[in-house]
Amino acid sequence: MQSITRQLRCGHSGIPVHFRLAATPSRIQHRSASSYYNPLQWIQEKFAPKARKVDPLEEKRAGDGQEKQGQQSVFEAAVSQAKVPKKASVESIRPAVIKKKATEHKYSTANFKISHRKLNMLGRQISGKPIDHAIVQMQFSEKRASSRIKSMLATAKLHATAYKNLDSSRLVVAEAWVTKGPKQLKRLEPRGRGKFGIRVHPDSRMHVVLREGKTFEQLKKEQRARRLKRIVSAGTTYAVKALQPGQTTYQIMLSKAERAKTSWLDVKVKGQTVPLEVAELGEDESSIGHLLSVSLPKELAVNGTLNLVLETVQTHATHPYPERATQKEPQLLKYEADLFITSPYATLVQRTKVRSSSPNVVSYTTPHDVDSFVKDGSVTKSGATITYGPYYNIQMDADFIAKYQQRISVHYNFDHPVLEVKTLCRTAEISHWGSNLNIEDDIYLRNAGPTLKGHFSRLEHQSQSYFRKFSAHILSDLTLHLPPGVTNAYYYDQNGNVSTSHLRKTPSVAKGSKASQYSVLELKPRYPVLGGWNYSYTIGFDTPLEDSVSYDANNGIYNIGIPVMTLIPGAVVDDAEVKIILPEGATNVEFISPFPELSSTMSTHITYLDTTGRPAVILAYKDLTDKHTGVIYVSYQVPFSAHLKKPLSVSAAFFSLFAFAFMARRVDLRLHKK
Amino acid sequence: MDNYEAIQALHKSLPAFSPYVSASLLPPIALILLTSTFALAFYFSTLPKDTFPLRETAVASIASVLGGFGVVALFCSVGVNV
Repeated sequence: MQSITRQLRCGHSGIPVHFRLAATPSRIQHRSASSYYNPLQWIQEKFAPKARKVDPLEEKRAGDGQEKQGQQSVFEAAVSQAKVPKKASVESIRPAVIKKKATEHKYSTANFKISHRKLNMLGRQISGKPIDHAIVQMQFSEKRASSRIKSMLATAKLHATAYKNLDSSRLVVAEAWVTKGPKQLKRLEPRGRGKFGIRVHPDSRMHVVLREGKTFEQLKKEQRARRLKRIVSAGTTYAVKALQPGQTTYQIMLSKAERAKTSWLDVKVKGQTVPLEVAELGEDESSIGHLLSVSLPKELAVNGTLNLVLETVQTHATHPYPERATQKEPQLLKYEADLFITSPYATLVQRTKVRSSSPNVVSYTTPHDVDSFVKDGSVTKSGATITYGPYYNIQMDADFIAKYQQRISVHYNFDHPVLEVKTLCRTAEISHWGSNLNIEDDIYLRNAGPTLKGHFSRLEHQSQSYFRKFSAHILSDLTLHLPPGVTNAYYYDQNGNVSTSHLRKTPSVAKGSKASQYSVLELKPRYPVLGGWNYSYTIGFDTPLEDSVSYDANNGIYNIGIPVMTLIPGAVVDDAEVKIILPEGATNVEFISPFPELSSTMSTHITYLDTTGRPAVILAYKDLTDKHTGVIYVSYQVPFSAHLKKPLSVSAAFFSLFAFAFMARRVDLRLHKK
Repeated sequence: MDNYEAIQALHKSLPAFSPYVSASLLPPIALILLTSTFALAFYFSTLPKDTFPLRETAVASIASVLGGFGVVALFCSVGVNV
């Protein structure tokens, strides 16, 4: 066994030894020399006395008590020997040495003739990348050393999997560095005027460390989660106490401005997941604010308490301040809100906490004239959270509002582009003949950050990209999650096809089953979208119809679920229109939207090979956020005869051609008849 | 919202859509149908002119039906899912 391992080590001069390694599985096995080429040896091995097979654990256990026994007196030794040996169970056997699982695998090339600087270029390229990506990059690299590095990486990956039991699908080139050879090879080079220069033939090698890391999909998922956290959301917890019996509803008041900005709200009992029913009551009598009535799950008795959580998502709640910024300046946003929380009931204690995405808060307003409600300071800041309160004994009425209600604003630094989709037009076309669902999105995207002041410097942008110090308010790429099983994805804008995108497909999953992985589309707009700039593009993709449509054979009804939009994390959609084009001849069309739509209409859409046109359902929405990623369900019926409409209409066209030919053969167009 | 949940559950429980003709079979079907249409059209052109054009109408109708289905299959196989 020793000799074999030594051979393998010598083989590591950058030349791959795949064939040898492939022959040896995870444990290096000793191959005996006996085979049918050497029958005498085989007989010898079979019948000669063998060395006793030693089980290290047993030996250790047997020898465990011996030292102690040797030091004991006769009486003690007799007692200890009478002990009945325990039955060896799986739990009681503990290995003598607990082997630690390796976390990394180091590997290197041998020293070969290349400059350390040239080799380090490749080192920087592969550093931090997943191992497969690094190998592919080396395969298609134009550099001289790339093939050596490629084989070194492939061998390193194999070794890490085979010897260190690392997970090959998660391996990442965690570190890559270059060292120079032990001695520089110097040669004399004759120059002009009888002088000599020294020509150095450098040699260097690259070392890599492979570790288990996150895959691209995981990194994108984390980035997406970070981006989703950045949305302005308001969560208000009401600790409610009933003073009179028979309370079945609780009224929540939002100021008019707040209600206009709120695009999604949800009321739940704290700790539970089922949302409660909310009814809009409109403006209250003194027109302080907008009232919502929440039906409590159970009637609240006198002095009974309950905690309700109102969660809302506000759109267009922040604005860039200063409104214009150059390319290098940071992005500062301002959020404004009312200081006191409006409520039709008397409030004993209230607190407002404003949490920004980073602790980098430029300024925040200090409330004035609130001494009558405050015991300690009126506002405190800790990290990224600014707390206004606690304020005691607030009774909200018109006088109070006139006297004490004021605006607070928080001016903070925001490190990600603020995106606004001005219009989204989604078209979903169902084809029964092709068993295909095509979804196409026309998106008009705007960067709602501070408008660019001055010129856009391409040089500055590229140097930012090189030094990885991206400016906060420039959108350079987007990551979208498409459903699994997408085919024929396309991305074009007004100029034509945009090739700066990368789609990672995942295989299709059956209808109804939860998709564990999405297809990831990394979009890069044709130009980086700076503050105040717009970009409009179209993306579309096909998915197999079996994944979205179900068929009720008893009634002959087809049901389809179409998602309202493909979420761009952190972006708000101002106006959205979803058009669902059903197959020709579809009847009894019914649809339901996951959240209330602005308007819904039915129209007729005419496309290829249509005679009477296809029914289309058009739904319009406003102010969509990440909470609005629901599925629209449409049900329709298509009789078999409607399916045949298309081929028969084409047949009719063909038949008319044949009829024309029939007529043409019988018409004599000769000028002179003989 | 109960209605929505009910429809969602129904959609999940029902069997998936299965087309009359599987999508992967469409390209070869298109090829066969269109070549037969072409052959029949050629045959149509060689038929003699009769007073009662029984044969001609028969050949023409078969060819046009095959052509109709062939064109639909062709459209679907090149990606224009009609």
